[in-house]
Amino acid sequence: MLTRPPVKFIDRIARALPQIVVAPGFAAILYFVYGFIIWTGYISLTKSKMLPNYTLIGTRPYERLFQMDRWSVAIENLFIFGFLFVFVSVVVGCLLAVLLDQKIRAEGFIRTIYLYPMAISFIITGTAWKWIMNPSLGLEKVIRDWGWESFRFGWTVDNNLAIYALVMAAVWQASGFAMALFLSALRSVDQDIIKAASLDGASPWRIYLRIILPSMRPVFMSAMVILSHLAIKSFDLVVALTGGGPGYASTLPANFMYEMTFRRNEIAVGAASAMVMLATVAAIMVPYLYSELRGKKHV
Amino acid sequence: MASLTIKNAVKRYGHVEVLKGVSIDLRDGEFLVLLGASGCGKSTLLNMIAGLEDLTEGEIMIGDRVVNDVHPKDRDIAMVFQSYALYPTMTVGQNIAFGLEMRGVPKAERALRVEQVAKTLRMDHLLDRKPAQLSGGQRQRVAMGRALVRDPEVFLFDEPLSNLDAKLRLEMRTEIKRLHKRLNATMVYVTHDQIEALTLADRIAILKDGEVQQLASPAEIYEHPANMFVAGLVGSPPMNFLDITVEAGEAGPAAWVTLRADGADKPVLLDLSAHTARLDGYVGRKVVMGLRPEMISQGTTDAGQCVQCEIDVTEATGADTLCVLNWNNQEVLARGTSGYTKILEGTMDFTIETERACLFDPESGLRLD
Repeated sequence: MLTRPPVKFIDRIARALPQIVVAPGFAAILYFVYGFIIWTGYISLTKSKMLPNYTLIGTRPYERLFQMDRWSVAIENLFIFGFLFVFVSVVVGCLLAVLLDQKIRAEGFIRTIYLYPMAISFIITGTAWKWIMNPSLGLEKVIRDWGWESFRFGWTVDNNLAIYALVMAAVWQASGFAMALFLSALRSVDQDIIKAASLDGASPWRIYLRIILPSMRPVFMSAMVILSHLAIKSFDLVVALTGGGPGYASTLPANFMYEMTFRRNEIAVGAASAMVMLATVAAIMVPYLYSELRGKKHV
Repeated sequence: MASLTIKNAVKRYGHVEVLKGVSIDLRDGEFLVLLGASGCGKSTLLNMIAGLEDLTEGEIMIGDRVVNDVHPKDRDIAMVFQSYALYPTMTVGQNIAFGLEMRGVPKAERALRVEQVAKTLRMDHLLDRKPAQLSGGQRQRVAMGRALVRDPEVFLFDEPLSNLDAKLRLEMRTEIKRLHKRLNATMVYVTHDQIEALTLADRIAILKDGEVQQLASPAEIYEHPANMFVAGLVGSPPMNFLDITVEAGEAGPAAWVTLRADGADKPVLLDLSAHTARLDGYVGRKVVMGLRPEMISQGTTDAGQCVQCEIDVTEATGADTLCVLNWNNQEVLARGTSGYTKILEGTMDFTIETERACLFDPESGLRLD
């Protein structure tokens, strides 16, 4: 009978090298991401106040959460902000991309200008827009100094308009990114298709509307998913631009969570709100990932 | 249906001259093939006819209308692209109907015409599918259907078969030929495949470096190529070129060729008396003799001069068996036999049909006439 030559130790290491290299990162993600998700989930069912307390009290924190006006305002704001932010960013980004696609001069330069806001942190965007929209030193003052005495632009200090001020700043930041996504998709359209359509008698805007934009559906999907999870995670913009105010009129769920957990000694309620946010993101991401991965298999 | 006239078309990109004054005249219903290697300007010319590129100089007329400044959509032409260029988000039916829709044809008539075209191209069962669900050959049919449904004045084809496998290419080639016969439409077809050109065309325009080398019927181009470039491009296997020096023989001009036979080189005097008029004034000078492989056939016949040659290698292609011979220390392809079965080796008899040979001036490359 043949005996196998003994496998050398070094060969075993070499064979297992990929796993060994990946393992620390994998362990860290497992512990810090999924471990803490489970921990937060557990905490959201306890009577934790200022410090974690592991006594389970069932879904009481969730009940309290949904009774709070601050939370319902935050959720309502999230819907307004999320919907407007995603919709306007996609429309503006798409429009900019189509305009940039007209073989214009200095395209690279202009593209960089539009893309730049994405490189800036939300804190800076928020601060800059806070100054621009501040009635006593921003746009309102400038225009009044020019002589239009009755001009008003006090969105950040208006209970009903503060959330739209957030939308404006966020759109300014993200639409350039949407534009870059759409522009690369526009560029990858087969030029022959455009030629064929123009021979078929379609005008340029009809070519965009009927042929090019429909073929970019996957890119629209990606843009919407990326932007909507940006919207749900928006935290720093609110902190810098309105501080959640006036009052709590422009609070978003992330700010609510921070407020509860670290300022108001309501860790359980904060954890409950975090779990609700996780569920919201999952509701968007899971179907998307599912369709993406399934699509890959078919190819 | 209409005639197509191209007058002295020039295309320059900066200082690069892609087309150097091309003039082609097409009758109504004629099938023209633009043949040439890549970069010869044939696709540029086609795009200019379609209106996708501007002319730098010259004039293009469809019927008796100058179309230089007419928008592509108003030229009443249809084009089939190499990549098929189907609209990916539309079904086959919508793809075919799109051109009609853009021209404001009512819905009922659109449906009727799409159905007719689908029937002609035998793809009525595919109308509800998306292009991504079709095979290469089916996509090709849809691209043709999209052109057909418009019933245009001129059809343009930009290498429509080059993305298909060999068998499908043959099928679609026949289909296009049949279509042309039935529609009797004016068609311009760009290809780099000389077999496609020979089989499809009423006339072939051979382009090289932006100039028309020869514009003639396939038979004329095959039998009487205008120059060495055309002779080498058209025909498969390609024509053999031999450098010879014309001598004054007993019956007329002749030339010595060294043949390898029985392991030794042996000079043979080839009789060129059939070309007496052509070679007038060339005695003592070098010319290039072009012989197609089928002009050198195995066996002894009365068709030409009989010589003995040693066979270096045989290549059986199925329909023909080709022999590689050694003349003037140069490989020469000959058509051994038709059919596959016979094994040819050693030194055998070959008949050379010298009167069918083409003779070229070695400097200008032009055929002696």
